[in-house]
Amino acid sequence: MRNLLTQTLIFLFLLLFTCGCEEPFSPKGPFEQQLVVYSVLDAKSDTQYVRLYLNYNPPGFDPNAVTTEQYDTAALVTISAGSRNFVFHDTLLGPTLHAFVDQAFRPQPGTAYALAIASRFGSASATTKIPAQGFMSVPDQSKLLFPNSFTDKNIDINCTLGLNTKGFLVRFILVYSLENDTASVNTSEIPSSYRQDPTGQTTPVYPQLQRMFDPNPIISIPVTNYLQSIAQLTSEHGTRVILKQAKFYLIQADESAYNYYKIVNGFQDKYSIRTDQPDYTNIQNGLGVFGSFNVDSLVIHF
Amino acid sequence: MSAKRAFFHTAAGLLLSALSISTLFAQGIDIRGTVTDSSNGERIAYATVLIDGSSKGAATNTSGFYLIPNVHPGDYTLSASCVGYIKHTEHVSVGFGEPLLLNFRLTPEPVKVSETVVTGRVTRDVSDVQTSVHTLEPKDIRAVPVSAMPDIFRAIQILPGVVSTSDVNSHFYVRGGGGDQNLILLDGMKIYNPFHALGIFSIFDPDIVRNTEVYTGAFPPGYGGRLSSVVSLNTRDGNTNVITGRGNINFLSSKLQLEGPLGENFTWLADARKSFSNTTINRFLQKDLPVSFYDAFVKMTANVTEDRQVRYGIQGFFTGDDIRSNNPTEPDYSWRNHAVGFTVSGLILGRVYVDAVAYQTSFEASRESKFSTSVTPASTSIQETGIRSNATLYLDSKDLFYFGFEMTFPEIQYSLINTYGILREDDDLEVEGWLWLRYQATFGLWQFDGGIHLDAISLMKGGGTDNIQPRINISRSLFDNWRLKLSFGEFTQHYVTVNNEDDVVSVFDTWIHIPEGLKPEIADHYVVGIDGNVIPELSLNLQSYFKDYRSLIVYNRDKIDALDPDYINARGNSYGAELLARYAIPFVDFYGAYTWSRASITSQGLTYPPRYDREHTLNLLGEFHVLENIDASIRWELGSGFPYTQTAGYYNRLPLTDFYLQPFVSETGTPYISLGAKNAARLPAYHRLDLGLSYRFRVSSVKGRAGLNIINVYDHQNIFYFDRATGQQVNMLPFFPTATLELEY
Repeated sequence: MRNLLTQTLIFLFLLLFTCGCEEPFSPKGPFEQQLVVYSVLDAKSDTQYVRLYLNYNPPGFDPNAVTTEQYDTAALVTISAGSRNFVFHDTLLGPTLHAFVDQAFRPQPGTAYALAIASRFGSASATTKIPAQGFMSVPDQSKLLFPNSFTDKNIDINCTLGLNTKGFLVRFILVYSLENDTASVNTSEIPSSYRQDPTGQTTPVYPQLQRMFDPNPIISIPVTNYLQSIAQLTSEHGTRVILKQAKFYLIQADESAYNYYKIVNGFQDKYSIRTDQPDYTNIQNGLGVFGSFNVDSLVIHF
Repeated sequence: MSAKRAFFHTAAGLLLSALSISTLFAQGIDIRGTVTDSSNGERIAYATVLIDGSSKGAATNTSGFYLIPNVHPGDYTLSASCVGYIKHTEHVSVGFGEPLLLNFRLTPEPVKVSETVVTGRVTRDVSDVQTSVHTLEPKDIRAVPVSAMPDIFRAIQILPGVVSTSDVNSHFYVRGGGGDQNLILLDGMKIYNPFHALGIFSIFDPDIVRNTEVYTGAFPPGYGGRLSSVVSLNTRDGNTNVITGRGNINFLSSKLQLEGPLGENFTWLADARKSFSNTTINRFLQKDLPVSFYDAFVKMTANVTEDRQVRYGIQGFFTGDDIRSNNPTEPDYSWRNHAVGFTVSGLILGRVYVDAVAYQTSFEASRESKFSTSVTPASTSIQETGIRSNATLYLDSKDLFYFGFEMTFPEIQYSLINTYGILREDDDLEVEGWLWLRYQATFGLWQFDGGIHLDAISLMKGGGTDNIQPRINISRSLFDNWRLKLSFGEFTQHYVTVNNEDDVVSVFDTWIHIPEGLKPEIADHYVVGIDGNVIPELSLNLQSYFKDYRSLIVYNRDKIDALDPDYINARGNSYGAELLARYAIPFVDFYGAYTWSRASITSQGLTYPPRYDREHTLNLLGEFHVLENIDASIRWELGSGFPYTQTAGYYNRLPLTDFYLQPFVSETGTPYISLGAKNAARLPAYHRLDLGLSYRFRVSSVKGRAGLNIINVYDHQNIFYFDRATGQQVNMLPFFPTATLELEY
């Protein structure tokens, strides 16, 4: 028994010395060519875009070694809703920028659309449902014209969100021109809040897409923010500022556009202490996003 | 009634009940005392005291105390023995009336080629009813060749079921459990971050530790709050005979330890280590990182009454680490651990022995970003005040009843700037309380050790039955000294670290209480094992386990925005088989441990192995007593590859900034790595051969030990991590010889 064990020990120690050889390993796995697809349908536009390019595999580990996008300009790109098909055509939008474009396609709010791409590099598909038309109203419009008459703390905007909306955003923009230059039109967005960083510096925070959990939300913008923006314009341009319009936009995003936007912007969660940076796609057999949005606007003239 | 009052009422009720039972069972004379080391007066744990010619006997507890109850009057011969000591025999006469006090002072075996020593160590592993417990003594820790200094956690990593993810990180993972699922106790005080900078070494100097108990699963009642393992370190009291000193110097640090008696009843021990060179660490990390650390331990013990063995102790433990980079764009880190405790132990009534500790422990860490653009400032701390008490009621020679309680008040704070640029601060004061009952008995061929561990505060807050946690160990003698063992235990955990689960090295550990609305982490352990001696020189221990993680806390991979929680509950499991063999002949003490294991986590429809899942682990350790003054050791570790998520390709990711304002078609994307299936690939196997040689010498009254260790003898390139951005492969320790010199007077 002892002899057997001693022999086993000797064998094991000899074996381990033969294990000194290195085993190759690469952090890069087998490369799979995939289509990268970006398309966000705009229900207020007749022109829609589908950006299509390819993922890549640089020879080393520096992705910047690949400086140009690889396109498949011959791909067949269609968006369909029921029996209606819209075929997109490769268009050169810049010196090296390709996109598939259809200039006669206005998506219908509330309708589901399917994207299908057939390429020699593979096929990809995705769906989106255009948010149904939403509406908004500002009960005390007249007070906007006379800012100093405000007695409330907030400017309330009553919204009605359409079906298929996952995220929405209300923007409040002042349109103004300057005396002696009435031809030019300038804009200034009213912040939703101000943030003080650890150094004590204050920076404006503008509205961001937020998730819908009430189809009739009331968005409140502090009056002080409105007054502070006007004061800032006055301090920059003196009495030459001529306020022309107060514009409100209600933007509704579908689930895919909302999810992608939040993921690439780090969840936009001021309470999170997570450090990971995940990815999101709703493209089957591909990367990127196929989403949609819809807009309602309200203009108050000064 | 408040939860706290109810808790203390229940604890007091248990104590009174036990005292009543103690009186009922008192039907004879008790023999009790301590077993100590004659060379320094240290108490010896796990020594055996037997009445010759009878089946009566007892084992000493971790304080070296034993009690043999119900001995009929008469003349007896008692013997005390322990691995590494010469057996000692006493003849006593037991009369009527008072218990008999009998203390043993065992003489250490001389350091020589001794069959008794090695075979004793072989048999030690097979003498317990527990399936998953290992005890480490200082000599076990010293036997493992190390890169600079002996380390308790490095020694733990050769145990079956224990995995380390790197040479330069002493974090460990037990039977598929996470790195934050290990309960670390120093004299009963909880230590939250027991690692020096970057986890290269643990903060515990092995020379302050008398013994270490490691439970790798199904641990008994009395331990709670962690899912996977318990490492309980019991410190030395200090030399009762003379004042002695010990110094150590190696490439990385220097150490000084002083200890001795103070008057008749007091002993003291002071120990401090301090780093003095970055050379070694920089070679580990292959970058210039000025790392410095220190740890210090002081303890004063008073032996008040010899009759009742009442002792008081006060101890303080202080550690600090700093990583101060010379590069202004690299962040600085610092850690501090403090633990201060007051202990009392002894017989409070005839047969009730109590061990209690009141303590305050803290862990503080901070990160200064300096001019780094990728790292933000952060700080975190845990301050915990607690009291823990365990009582042992000696009913009969092999019939023990344990009960106790622990109540802690952990306060967790953190402050950091999140990825969104917002300052996040939290200050959370919690209360935790446990009660336990444990019964240990022998019925013929059967041994039973089990009971209930109650998460009392959670129960009082309306928690479910998961807070009533049964723990059962059963063993049955088969033939010769072979035993079949079965274990089951249920465990919960309320605190987790929030590191990215895919981080290779967790430089900055932030602990949090599990968020409201989520279940605590819950695991059930099932273990079956058989152990015994094939021949007197060879012991085998084969175990198989299954761990059902009914609840784990993981990142919510489907989080989209602030309305989605950061963390969610997931499930998981791990299972495996372990074989531990010890073989000893006069010239060789051989230790071999093989573990086969699999672990997986299932979350949101995805099942993946955690990054510390290792399928095969083999540890071979040989100690050779070459000459009377020379010992050699050789260790080989083989581990199959850890899971790795490979890069599947790159694409230019568009930010879709203000996509509702302007067409996104003109946006320029940022290169983004698209990953393959999570943890689907495996890194190459890890293997490493280490050699150690130590030479003992004596010059006048000074004893010395010179050591030479060679790490990674055949210079195998074990992968530490890959930098995805550059593809750079960072390896673990290369061929690395180190030397150490230790002097003791």
